[in-house]
Amino acid sequence: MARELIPEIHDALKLTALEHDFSDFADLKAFEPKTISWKGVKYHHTGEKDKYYPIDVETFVLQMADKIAAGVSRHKPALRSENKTTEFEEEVEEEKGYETVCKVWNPITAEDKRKIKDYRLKRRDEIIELLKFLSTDPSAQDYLLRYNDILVNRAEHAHRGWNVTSLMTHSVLTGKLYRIFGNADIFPIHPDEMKDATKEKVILLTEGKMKEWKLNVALCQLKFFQKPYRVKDLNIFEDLNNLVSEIHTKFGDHVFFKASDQLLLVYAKEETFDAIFRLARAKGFWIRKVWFEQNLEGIRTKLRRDMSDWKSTNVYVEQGKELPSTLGIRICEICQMDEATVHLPTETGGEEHLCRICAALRRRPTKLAKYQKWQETAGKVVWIKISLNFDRLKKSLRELYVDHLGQFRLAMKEEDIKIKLSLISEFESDYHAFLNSFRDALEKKRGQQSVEKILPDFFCVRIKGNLEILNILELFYDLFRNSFSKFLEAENSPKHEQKHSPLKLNLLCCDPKFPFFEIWRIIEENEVDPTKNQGCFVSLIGHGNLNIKISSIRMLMEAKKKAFRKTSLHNLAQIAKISESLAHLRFSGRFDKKDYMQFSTLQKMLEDELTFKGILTFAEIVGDKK
Amino acid sequence: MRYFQYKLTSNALCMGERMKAGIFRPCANTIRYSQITGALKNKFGRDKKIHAVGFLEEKEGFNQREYYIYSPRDKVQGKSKVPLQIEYLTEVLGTVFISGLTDVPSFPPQIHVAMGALISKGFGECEMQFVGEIEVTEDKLPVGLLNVRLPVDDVVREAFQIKAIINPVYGYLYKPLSLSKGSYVLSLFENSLVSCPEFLQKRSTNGKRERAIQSKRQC
Repeated sequence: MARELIPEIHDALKLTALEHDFSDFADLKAFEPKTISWKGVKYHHTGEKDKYYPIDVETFVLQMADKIAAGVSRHKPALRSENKTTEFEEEVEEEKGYETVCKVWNPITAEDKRKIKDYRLKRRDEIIELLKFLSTDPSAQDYLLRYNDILVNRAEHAHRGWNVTSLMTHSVLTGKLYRIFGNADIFPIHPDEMKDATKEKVILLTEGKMKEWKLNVALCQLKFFQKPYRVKDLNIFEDLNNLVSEIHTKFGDHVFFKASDQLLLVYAKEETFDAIFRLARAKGFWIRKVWFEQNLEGIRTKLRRDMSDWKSTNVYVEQGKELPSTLGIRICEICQMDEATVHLPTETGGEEHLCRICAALRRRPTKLAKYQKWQETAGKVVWIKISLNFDRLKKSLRELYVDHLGQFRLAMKEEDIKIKLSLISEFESDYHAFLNSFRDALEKKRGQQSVEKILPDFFCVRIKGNLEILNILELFYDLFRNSFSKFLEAENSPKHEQKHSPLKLNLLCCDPKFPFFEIWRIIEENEVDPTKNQGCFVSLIGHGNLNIKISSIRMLMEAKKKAFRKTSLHNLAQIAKISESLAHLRFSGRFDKKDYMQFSTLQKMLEDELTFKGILTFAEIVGDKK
Repeated sequence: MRYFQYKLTSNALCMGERMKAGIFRPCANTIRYSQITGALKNKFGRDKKIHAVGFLEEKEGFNQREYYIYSPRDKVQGKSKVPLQIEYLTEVLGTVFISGLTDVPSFPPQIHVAMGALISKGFGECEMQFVGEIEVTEDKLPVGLLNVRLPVDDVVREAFQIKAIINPVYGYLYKPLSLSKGSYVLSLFENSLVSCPEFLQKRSTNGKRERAIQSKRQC
């Protein structure tokens, strides 16, 4: 059952400097819109000071959606200090400077805070213009687009410590949840329940529905069976990208976070997930689903828990169906999960035996023309994948949020501090902005002809020599430091349990002809291998790996600036290929005075960041004579 | 159920997966049921009831991946064909478990088998050294992540006491039906969450077997 109210508009008054409880609205009564959406603006609160409260089923559902979409709890916790000084009282009374959203992963400095522009509409003519616009009964899209600047900068909850999500994120999530709750069969409210309701009755009804109504929250990773080896097989990534877009288009209200290969879904009934799975299956994908079902009251508590506490399943086929117990004599060479029914000739005169889906991939022309060309010429490529670990993200955000609240004199206990879906959604826009910036910087620095984009977080870059790997690392580090400064700090912070960055950089350097499925295997294994849980993994395929914190990249850059003799490092790397023990002797012994000086400097710089094997790999990179 | 544990070593072993693009054959990460069972059946009799499975040990210096390029010759034309690149393992160290559900009267303390690809080139010579017997009762089948690959059919499940499949990672393994014919059967791959003997499960980094929290991961 659809409702006509536009839920995204419900906090429109927060675009202005007016009070949210309509206490100073009297002068503007003449311009008050008469739309159903305005009813949502007016009647969606149940706070102590709120004059207006939900009056019917629509506004009640809006209030529920608003509650779940909120970045923080709706009550302000008690202040810690009992001995209030004048200065303290003034600070509390004013509560100024918190209208702007603070990103816990990259907060603005105190100095920058002073320069922040207050985006809210303050002038009477501006506010009247807003009210006139709302009187035209705009769509959600029109509203969000027109007031985008204010919405993305204005905090949803403009109080000390609570200004961690933007009004934009909150408005969008409220809209999604309103439409999810809009299914009266799943989320019933009898009209009598709201008949002649007082504020107290509404509050009681809210408490009841928070216990009764349930949602599923599921992290879905989209996986494929294929082991791509020819360039055209990488069309699977184009399919993956299109699939994510298609799910977002058709099921946008259920998508609360989106990465290149994973989605955080919120839905009421399993039929929603089944429909999404059917879309994926039709393209040959399967889904790794980690989820929980919980009443609204318990969602935050459940979100906080480790994801190993959630339920987990690998979904290969639709409900009620099974994978075939046997396949015929010929199995598809690419996916190895279906019978090979298509036989395609190869350039060498043989035949490849593929299934229907893999054959369709192979028959499509590739969009990776640059990569195809690189395979025909000498040189190297670097595969760059920026993976996102959702469980680490959740934990990191919570710890950073605790840190953020710790700045203020609030009386909350740490165990009571929970994160909400809105904080995770808030992170998404910065995450995508970071990926776009990284791609732009790569193309600017290396030239568009040297960069092939596979997915928003997956690239192939042409390089001439290993030393260029360090340039790419430096580029990544600078952008990461500007976008997620607090993740960097957490890596070295003794008080943080979640030290490892939720974002992981995988950088694999190899010959362009090196089998791609091996590269993909390494990247996938890195996501689950507990020995490779640092934020940065660099591999010179066949020549060594580096597994370091992202913050350690800075030390590598420092080491790179030192004028080490390339020959010394190159020779060390070559010796290590024959005997690591001999290389260790050469590194720590005084065989050659000049080498010894070099190596002891290198050791001092990097011994805290790298193992000896890592140092050898670094030597291989820096000692590359190309 | 009794199991016979063997240590498997080899200088060079190519447990190849399917050839890719006709020019590259990658190496598997586990000692697949189909591979080791096939090798033992070649040794003790193809008609024998034998079930075996294994995994590679995660120890420094062992199971290194190397690459071998060779060019098969066309004997008729007398010239080399397109060069093939094969991935193989050196300093192979693995563990193999043979199920007690067998009609082989006894397994010797040392078994020599040839396994995998390029046997004619000197790859795949394996020595299996008996380590000991393990007795597993029905009440000692914890939930954990599988470290091996084996078919999901009832006979193999019984041979390895796979009591419950909670969260499978599926794939297909080859099953020979005769000397020249076979089919692919649905199988459980590594990281499947199952209830089975502990020795078939993955170890965590501290050496203890990885266990999922049983009650909370029920689907």
